[in-house]
Amino acid sequence: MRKKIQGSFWLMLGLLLTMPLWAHHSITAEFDTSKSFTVKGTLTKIEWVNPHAYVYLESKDDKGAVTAYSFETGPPGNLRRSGVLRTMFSVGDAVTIEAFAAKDGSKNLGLVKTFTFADGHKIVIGKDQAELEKANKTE
Amino acid sequence: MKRSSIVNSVATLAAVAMWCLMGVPAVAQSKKLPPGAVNDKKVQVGYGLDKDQPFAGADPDGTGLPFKEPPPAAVEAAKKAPMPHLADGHPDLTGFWGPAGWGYAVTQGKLSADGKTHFTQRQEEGPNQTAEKAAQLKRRMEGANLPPYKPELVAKVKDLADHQSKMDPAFYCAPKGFPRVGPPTEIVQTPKTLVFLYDTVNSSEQNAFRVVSTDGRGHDVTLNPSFYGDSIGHWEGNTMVVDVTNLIDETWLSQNGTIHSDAMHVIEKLTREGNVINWEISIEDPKVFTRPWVYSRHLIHGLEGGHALEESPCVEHDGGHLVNTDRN
Repeated sequence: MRKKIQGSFWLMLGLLLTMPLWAHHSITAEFDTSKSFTVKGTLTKIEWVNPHAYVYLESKDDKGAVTAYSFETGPPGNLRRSGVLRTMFSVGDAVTIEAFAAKDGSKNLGLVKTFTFADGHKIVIGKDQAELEKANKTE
Repeated sequence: MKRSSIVNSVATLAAVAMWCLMGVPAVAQSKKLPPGAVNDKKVQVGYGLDKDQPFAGADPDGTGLPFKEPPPAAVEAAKKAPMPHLADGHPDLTGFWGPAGWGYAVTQGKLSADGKTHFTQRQEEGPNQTAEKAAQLKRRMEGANLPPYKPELVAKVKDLADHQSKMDPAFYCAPKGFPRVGPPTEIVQTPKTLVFLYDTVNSSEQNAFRVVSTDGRGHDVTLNPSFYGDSIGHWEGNTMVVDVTNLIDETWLSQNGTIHSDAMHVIEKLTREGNVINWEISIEDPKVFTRPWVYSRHLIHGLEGGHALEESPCVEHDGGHLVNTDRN
C-alpha cells in the first residue's frame, strides 16, 4: 500500500517536472496537462513568434476529410536555449504530434508534448520522461 | 554582327533566368538542421539578464524584477580588466553587455544517447508549477526594494499583479517600454550619440532600440509621448547620465502590476569600470510613488564580436483561450 502511494507520488512529481518553462501565461491557464491527444498530419505553417511559437498541421482521415490544427510550443528564446530552431521544421513535413488539450474545449488546439518526424527523430517539449521513471524506480 | 549580338544577349538572359530558376529554390531551402545541431556551438554562457525566465536569476535587493544579477566574484574579476576610452577621453561603452552569449547559447535541453530525440529541458532543471514556484511568486511581491506606491494604490497594483495573465499589456504584444525593457544588450557609442539595442527574442518588444543624444541638446518638447521616451545624456566623470522623459502611461515597470503615470521621469546611469557597467535606474513619479524607486544591476562585457539581437515578432494567440488567472 505504501509503495503504491509512493509510486503515484513519483508519477505526479514526474508529470510536474516534465512541464516546460513558460514565459507568458501559465500552462494551466490554457491547457489541461492531464489530457492529451495525438494527431498525424502534414505541417502547413510554422510561425516562430513571441510569446509562443506555433505550428499548424492538417490531418486527413480515412475518407479524405481534412482537419486543421494549431499547436502552441515554447517561446522562441526558450526554444533557442533548448537547441530547438525554426530550421528544424519545414512546411510539408509529415509529423505526429502528441499534445495537451485546451481547457476551453477547443478541439483543434493543443500544447505540443512531442513531435515525431517521419524518419523517427523526435523533439520533446519537456524532459525525458522514461529516464525520470527509471530513476524513480531505482530509488 | 548585330544579330549575333542580340542572340548572345538573349542566350545570356536565358542562362541567367535558368540559373535563377535553379539557384533560388536551392538557396531558399537551406539545409535542415537535425536535433542537437546547435548544442555544440561554442558560445560563452554568461550571467544573463534573465528577462524571460523570471525565476532563474538572483534578485539580491528584492525588486521583483526579472533582471539577473551576476555573482559578486564575477563582477569583481571583470572590473580588473582595462577600460577602453574614446578619443574624447570618455569611457567607451560600446559592446555586447550582460547576456554574454546568453541570447544564442544553448543552456538547457538534452539530446538522447542515440541522437534521435531532443528534449527541451535537462533532467536536473527545476519544475514549473510547484510549491517552489508559488514561493517564488510570493517572494516577487514581498521584496525589500519594491516600488514605493502611495498607500491608496497598493491594492490596485496587487490586483493587477494577481491578474497579470489577463491584464499585462506586454502579454498582448504591447512593447514593455522603458525602463521595463531592462538594461541594453548592446551599446554603440559615438562622440555625440549613444545607441542602445535590446535583446527582444523572448519579449513583446520588436527590435527595440533607444537613441540617446549626448551633444548637449535639451529635451525636444515637440515629440509625442512614447514607449521609450526622449533620452538625452551627459558625462559626469566616468558615468553616463541619461535623462528620460515623455513616456506614455500605458506601460508597466515590471511584471508585477506596476503601473505609473505620465509624470514619470527616469534617470539612467551607466558607470564603466573595467569590463563592468553599473547600470542604475531611478524612477521618479510623484503621482504614484512616495519617493523615487531606485535599483541597479551589474552588466559584464560579453564575447568579443558577440551579438545577442535576434528579431522575433510578437503575435498573440492565447488570450481568448485562458480559463483562469494562473501565471508564471
